[in-house]
Amino acid sequence: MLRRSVSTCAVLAASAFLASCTTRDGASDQMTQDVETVASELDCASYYPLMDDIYGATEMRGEICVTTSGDFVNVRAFPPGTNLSVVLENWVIGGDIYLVTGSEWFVVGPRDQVESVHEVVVDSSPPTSEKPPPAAETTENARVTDCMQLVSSAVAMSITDRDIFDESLPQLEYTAPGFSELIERPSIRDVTEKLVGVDPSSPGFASQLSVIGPDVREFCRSAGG
Amino acid sequence: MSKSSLNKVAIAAAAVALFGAVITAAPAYASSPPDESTPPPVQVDEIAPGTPIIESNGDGVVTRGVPGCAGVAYAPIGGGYGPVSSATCAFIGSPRAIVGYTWTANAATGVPACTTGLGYSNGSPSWYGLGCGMSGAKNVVWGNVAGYQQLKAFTQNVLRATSVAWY
Repeated sequence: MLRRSVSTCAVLAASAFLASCTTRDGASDQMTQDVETVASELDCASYYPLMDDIYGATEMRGEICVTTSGDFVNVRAFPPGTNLSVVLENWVIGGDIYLVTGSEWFVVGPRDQVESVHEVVVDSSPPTSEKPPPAAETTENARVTDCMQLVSSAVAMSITDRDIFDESLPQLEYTAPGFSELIERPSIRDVTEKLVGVDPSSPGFASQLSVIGPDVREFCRSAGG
Repeated sequence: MSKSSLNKVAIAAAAVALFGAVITAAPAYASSPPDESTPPPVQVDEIAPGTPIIESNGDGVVTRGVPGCAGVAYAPIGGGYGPVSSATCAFIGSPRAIVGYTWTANAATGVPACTTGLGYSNGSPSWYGLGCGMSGAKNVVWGNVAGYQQLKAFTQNVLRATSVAWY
């Protein structure tokens, strides 16, 4: 199987991802390996690693690949036991955008790209333009997902819409007690300060913001019901 | 022209005048993509025939919703998060479409809310903070997607439920 000459972790090490790469556990290792295996089959002109899913209760590693023709291909990998139908619920699949899944990963993009993954990676599904029907999420997972969507989007808002954020901060603190302290953590501030002025719709913004995922998830899990 | 057709034209004309958006009815877009050189939007939701549709004003241009497409998001008692609320009109995007969210918390309850809205970034779903308080508005990246805008509301008072009207 073809492999990328520069590993995702080597790229991550050049950025704020270093700590997560050096302290990851076995599941994280497997997720990173899954992403690298799948991404190595793609024709990427540039790629952007994702440290986590900042909008979901389930941990994730991923990559946004921008092909030589300018298309986006998204690779995502999750811990063992993840129900992919849940994490795929809001994804854009259909038309010219196809999906290939493995046991705990998926790749979404133009047919030729995802097909090249299916042809090489054992136990992957054929390309499809249909999403699996979403399974019910557990109550606790749904709660953490809702919390992460609120908190992560508020962190992004602190970068992109400072006026709205400042006006909203008292209510955010009421809704998510401890939020004011969370956003002042050095690990969060390092990210938000670097992203001021960066195009929020760019893959680079998504890549760097993904670093906040573990902090936000830990905050939301400990927030209780 | 029938009376109902006239009404649709009148609504669309008013929407253009007020909000710069065009409302048509499904499934018009499905059979006639706007431009042969542009890939048709990826449909992420089932859009029932007859559903009012708002079409993108173009790449990089904000398309605001219209009050006629208003949805209501409920934020239940107990301070929890309410269920996702879908718009009553479908939105037909374009490769770099930007869509607006405008929301108002129920003044009768006097309870402020925090809100998040769904958009799409680089092909993946993203949730955007739309602000907290009694009202707000924000534009989010939507892209080449056909589906329903979604909003979630988070109440600010554990003892009182509230609702958020939005479009």
